[in-house]
Amino acid sequence: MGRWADPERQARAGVGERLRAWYRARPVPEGIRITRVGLWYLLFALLVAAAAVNTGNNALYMVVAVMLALLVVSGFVSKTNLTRLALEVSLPAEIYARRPAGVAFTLRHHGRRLPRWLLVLHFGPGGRPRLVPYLPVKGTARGVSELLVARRGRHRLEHAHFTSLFPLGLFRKGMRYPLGRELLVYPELFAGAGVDLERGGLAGEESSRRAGWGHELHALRAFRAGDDPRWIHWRKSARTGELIFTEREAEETLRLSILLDNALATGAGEELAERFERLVSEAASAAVNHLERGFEVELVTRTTGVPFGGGNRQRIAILETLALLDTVPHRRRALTPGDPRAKQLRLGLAAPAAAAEVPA
Amino acid sequence: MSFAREKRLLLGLLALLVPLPLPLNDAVSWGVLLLFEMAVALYLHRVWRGHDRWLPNWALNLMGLVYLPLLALDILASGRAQALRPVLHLALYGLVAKLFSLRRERDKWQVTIGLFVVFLAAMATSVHPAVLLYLAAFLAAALWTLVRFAYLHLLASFGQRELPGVKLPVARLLAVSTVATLVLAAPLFALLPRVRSPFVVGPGLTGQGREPMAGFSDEMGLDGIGRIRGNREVALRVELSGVHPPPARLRLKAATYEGFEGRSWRRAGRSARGTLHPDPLTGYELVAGAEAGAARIDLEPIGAIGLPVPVEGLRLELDTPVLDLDAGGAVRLRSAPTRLLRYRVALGAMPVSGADRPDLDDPEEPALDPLGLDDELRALAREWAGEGSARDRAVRIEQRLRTEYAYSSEFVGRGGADPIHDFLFRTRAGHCEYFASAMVLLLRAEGIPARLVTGFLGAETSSWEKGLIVRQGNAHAWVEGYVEGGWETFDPTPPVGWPDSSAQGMGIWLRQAYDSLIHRWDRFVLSFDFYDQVRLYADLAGYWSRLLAQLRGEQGLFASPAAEAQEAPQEPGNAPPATSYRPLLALLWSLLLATGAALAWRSWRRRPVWSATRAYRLLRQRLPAAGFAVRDSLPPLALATRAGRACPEVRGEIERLVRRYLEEAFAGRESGPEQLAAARAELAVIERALRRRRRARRRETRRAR
Repeated sequence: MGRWADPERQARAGVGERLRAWYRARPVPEGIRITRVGLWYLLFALLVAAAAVNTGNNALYMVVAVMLALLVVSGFVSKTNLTRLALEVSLPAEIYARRPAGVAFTLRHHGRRLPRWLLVLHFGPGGRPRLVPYLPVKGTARGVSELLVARRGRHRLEHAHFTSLFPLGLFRKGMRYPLGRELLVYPELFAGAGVDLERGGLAGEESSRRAGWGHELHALRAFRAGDDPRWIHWRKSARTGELIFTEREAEETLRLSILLDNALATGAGEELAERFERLVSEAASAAVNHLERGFEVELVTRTTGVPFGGGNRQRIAILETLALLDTVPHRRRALTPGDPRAKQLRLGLAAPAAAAEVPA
Repeated sequence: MSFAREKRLLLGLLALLVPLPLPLNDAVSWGVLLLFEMAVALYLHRVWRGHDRWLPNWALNLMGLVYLPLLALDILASGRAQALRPVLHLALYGLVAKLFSLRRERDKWQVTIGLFVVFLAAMATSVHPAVLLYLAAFLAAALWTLVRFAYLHLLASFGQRELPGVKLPVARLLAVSTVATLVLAAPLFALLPRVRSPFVVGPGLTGQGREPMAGFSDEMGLDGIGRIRGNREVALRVELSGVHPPPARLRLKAATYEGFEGRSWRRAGRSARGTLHPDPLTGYELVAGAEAGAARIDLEPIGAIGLPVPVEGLRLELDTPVLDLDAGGAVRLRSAPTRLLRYRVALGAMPVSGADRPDLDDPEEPALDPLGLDDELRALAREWAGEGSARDRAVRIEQRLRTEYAYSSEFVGRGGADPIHDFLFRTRAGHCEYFASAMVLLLRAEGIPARLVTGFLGAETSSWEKGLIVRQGNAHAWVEGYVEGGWETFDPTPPVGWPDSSAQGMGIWLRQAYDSLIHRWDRFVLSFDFYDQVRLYADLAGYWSRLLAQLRGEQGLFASPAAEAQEAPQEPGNAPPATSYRPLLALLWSLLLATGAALAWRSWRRRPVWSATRAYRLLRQRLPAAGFAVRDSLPPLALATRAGRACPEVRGEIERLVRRYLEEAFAGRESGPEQLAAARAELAVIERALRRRRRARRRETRRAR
């Protein structure tokens, strides 16, 4: 379970450190809750005990003794049922806030005598638990459970929680096994977030049928002072006897600058913090959406940024940055995009959201 | 199978099991049980066939209304003595109704509670040790049911509606749990607090014990003892010590009779001594005398107020505030005991009688009651008795009856208008009551006060118990006659008619085993009380202190206090040796060694088989300790290359070991003994090199710090 990630460190570890590591990695009982059936059972045991004491009937004493002994045996079996388990989890590559993530697990039973029954595995509140009905001795069970994290950012999946009603359903016992896995949870994504392309800028890869600096041929004209001599069409010039300049088409912009102002006034309340989280989610959603449509996207904040780029690598970089984005005290300086010709999406608590600006 | 169907089946099967002991305890009749079982069988048939129409609520209410008048009739018919029976009938009827209307989840729990109540009733009314089998069976069935309920509940909470194909094998666990529960329940049973005397429900739920044993009631017919002569049921157990009669001649007096009414005897009136009160030190004084022996008696609840006491009895120790004596010196209780009764009797060397002295001048003297005497009988008595002292005449009459009359049990149940007359003059054969009755009348005809005595004669030894067993078939009747100024015992029944306790054989041995089991069950389970808990604690504390003393070398484990008191006093100057804990230490060391040996043997048994594959795996485990990171994904050849580069001094060994592993694991070539020995040697060399490397790294690390 990842007790020792570094074999060298494991080899150098002394006895004390090994003991501490064992202590941290041991499973910990997580409490016991009586069920309704258990409450009725205890009530009836008390009633029969009262009847036995009141009447002196030794047959009723036998019943009470068996009921109490059954509680003890049931407690022992239920405690044993949650021990000697080894859990390996495989976290998904991308985990988004408030979206269930499937966590693949492999559960092994290291015990030698008794199998394990009716194990319910979950990774915390919110995610759907998973039932493992039966695990034989030295057996393995595989499956996928759900993990649901409410907020973006760096999290630590400390424990996996096992509960069981076995054997009699009188008590629900729990045990937590340490995992110690780090998670980076990306912001929540909203469907359909995007920018109106009609209000786009001028720099990009699509031809716009205007003279500019793209790659497509727009027109051939006489060379004028100030033109770039590299674009002189020498063949045409030789044929005509005068210098001919190749004029290229201007390209439509497929770039998007997301300018997320992470300044927050000191003492801002919960409501503003929630609104900020929503803005982060909008920024993430817009970035993912446009990257999927072939845009080059840039992220600019007050503290960090991701330059223009495209593809999956850029998506991961932007999501990671947004996942770890913190607020800073309020500042007056405006955010500036890396390419003024790119479309812009300005988000911030001071300005209205999703206001795209057309560059001058 | 759907969840609902499985739950219905489980409850139906439990319902078949639960009421089985009730008719055996006479709590319900066999007919009622049969009706119930048929109804449950019908229910199970419907469930198995998959019927899904069950009784609605209005039908359930109607069934309740219909049963009300039947319940009233049942209560009236049962009476106050059997108040539990109508309640049980109602519970069984309610269970059937609920089973057929089982639709919701809470109905299931209501049925479960109803089954538990019937189970409690079956347990509370059972007195036979076979109830343990019933308890174990119910425990196993209930465990199975609860486990399945928990499983189905979990599946339902995960949205499943049908049982998955995966089975849930819990049979072995349930069997072990059942046994563990019963074993753990035994000490709990002994420890639970007792504040009242134990109550044992008798047959018919009356709590009155068994049917009263014939022959010891206030009025006794002439066939009572003859009828039970073949009864093998145990009446009492006796442990004799000191001077005592042989088992075959052990005679216990239970009742005396004085008034003969032609076909029956009336019990003797109260003794002139009145009610007896116990002395705090010696108990009840019956007859003055020196104690020569003792008898410790466990009396089963035979339903009689007569307390059997050996005819040699002098004093009685019994936990009761008062006792009565009848005129014939027989002990009477105020009420018939309903559970096992223990008492101790101090014995004299000879038979004695605590009967009142008769008033020979009183024409109303009961012991000389002329009822039943006629001229023919007087003439016979005169003829047999002859002349001489009262004892001589009594002995002659006794001998005539013993030698000239035959013992026969065939006359049981037969009686004319004057059965004793028929016995003496016509049939000349009968059983012990006829002989004793005839002798009493003949002695009275001779003016000798006499009374009939009933009790037990003879006892059998048992391989299963320390003491002697007296069965109901040992019941006997004899005579006490007042001769020479004292009461003496006479037994006119021919010896062939005396109860025989000398029989042997496998049947007797098995019967004794069964009786011993029943006795222990009655004594240590049904009759377990607070004083038994105190005795148990005292016994355990005594054993523990003797064990500690033995471990310290001070005394034997079973040494008695008397033996301790007889130890020779120490001479001056010879101080007693210091307490030695060597035996205790030796024991602890032995335990440790034994545990260690057991663990080592276990570990050796579980040792993995040595092979090249194992050597390779050990190599992979050892390499990280030397600072060489081994990922799970590192293939063998790459490992060999890298490890060889990291540890060039053992590169050859590593490569050979890996090659052996590959041949064994992938080429299918089994390693022979030489190859295995070589692999072991190579691994040892590699391990030594790795250890040197590890020490070197540690030194470097320390220097770097």
